[in-house]
Amino acid sequence: MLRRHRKTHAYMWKVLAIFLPAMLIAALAIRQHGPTEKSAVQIEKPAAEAAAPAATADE
Amino acid sequence: MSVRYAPVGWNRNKIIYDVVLLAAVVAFILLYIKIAPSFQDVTKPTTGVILRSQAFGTCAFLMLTFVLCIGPLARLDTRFLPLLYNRRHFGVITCAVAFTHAASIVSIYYSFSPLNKYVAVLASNTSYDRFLGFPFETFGIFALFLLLVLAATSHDFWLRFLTPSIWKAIHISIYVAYAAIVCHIVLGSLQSKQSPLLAAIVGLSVVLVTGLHLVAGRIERQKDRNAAESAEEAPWVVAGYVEQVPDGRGIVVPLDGDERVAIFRYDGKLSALANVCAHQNGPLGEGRIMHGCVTCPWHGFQYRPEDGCAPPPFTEKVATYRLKLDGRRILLDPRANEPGTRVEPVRIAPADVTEA
Repeated sequence: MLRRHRKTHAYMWKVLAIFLPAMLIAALAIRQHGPTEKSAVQIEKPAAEAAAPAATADE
Repeated sequence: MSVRYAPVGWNRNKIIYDVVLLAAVVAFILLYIKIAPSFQDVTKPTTGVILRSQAFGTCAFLMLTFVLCIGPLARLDTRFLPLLYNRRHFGVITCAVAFTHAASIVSIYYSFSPLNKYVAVLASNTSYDRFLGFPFETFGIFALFLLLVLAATSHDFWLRFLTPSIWKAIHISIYVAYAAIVCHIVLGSLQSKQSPLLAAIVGLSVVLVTGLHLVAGRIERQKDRNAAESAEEAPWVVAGYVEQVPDGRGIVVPLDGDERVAIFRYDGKLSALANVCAHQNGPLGEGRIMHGCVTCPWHGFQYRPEDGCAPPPFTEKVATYRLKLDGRRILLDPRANEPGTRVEPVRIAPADVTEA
């Protein structure tokens, strides 16, 4: 490889070695978490419904 | 090396390389489609078409990571040289996989747009003033454009037409394409859903690719720093000692502020050539003498050691250098001769022949 190509390679990779990790870390650090990403929460039955007798279904 | 136009100069090695590569691509895509659904969120199931486009996108990124690692790996360890031999086919297949990913994404997400689907890709998000929410598609399109240019100019015809120096300068833009793809993933897929696995893959890729290039670059810089010292008599420089040159092989001598020179030992003689192959600027000094010719370790281009000319019917030429012996010291004239200039090889006297 020519000397000037070696120098260009070295310069480009020095820049990318700073830019790419910085980009990745910054984008992950300030990422906005949507409401759908929250873990599922079990919803309890309403108190009145929970207290109602199971036999109501037979009526 | 070819003397007439042929779309691809096929040989057994290239066929095996391509068959293995295509089989690996097909296996990866099928495996991804089979395994990925088990990792997805049951509340947001992914359709088969999206899954396929994700498979092609992931495959293209991993292929680009691999193809970028081949160069520095071959610099660090010669056992990786066979991978470099057909690297351009690897690049073209990577481009085809990336193109499939882009085509399927455009069809899935933009087919129902009131605008033309190709216009919609650029017009649907114009938040160019934001970091999060930046139209990540732009990075993907830019990277795909670069990959298409590189794939289209990868043939030896373009290498000859543009000259190796310009061709090489154009093909360095593969690094820009890689950076654009990382930005495309980081601002796109990694923002739209929480995916520690994808984040880890991108992180590992960045560390691997940049790390290998920095290490290889550092080694090359150290080699250039150890430039040959001037001998007592101008313009000669001390290139080394006879016993440092293995028989049938060469040594690479860096010149101060100039290109490197390759000195070869063969049949009890020494000859010096430019270290830069006329084909793709490969390091000739790391090659060996085969059938009486210096053979480039990258693609097997050959040159006669005494005049730097490729054997007929081939026409490539590299510069030659004058050598002389001072006892066991090899002295080199750092002024390059015109490519193809014959220089009488230096005969090694029996007293000078000491195996390393």
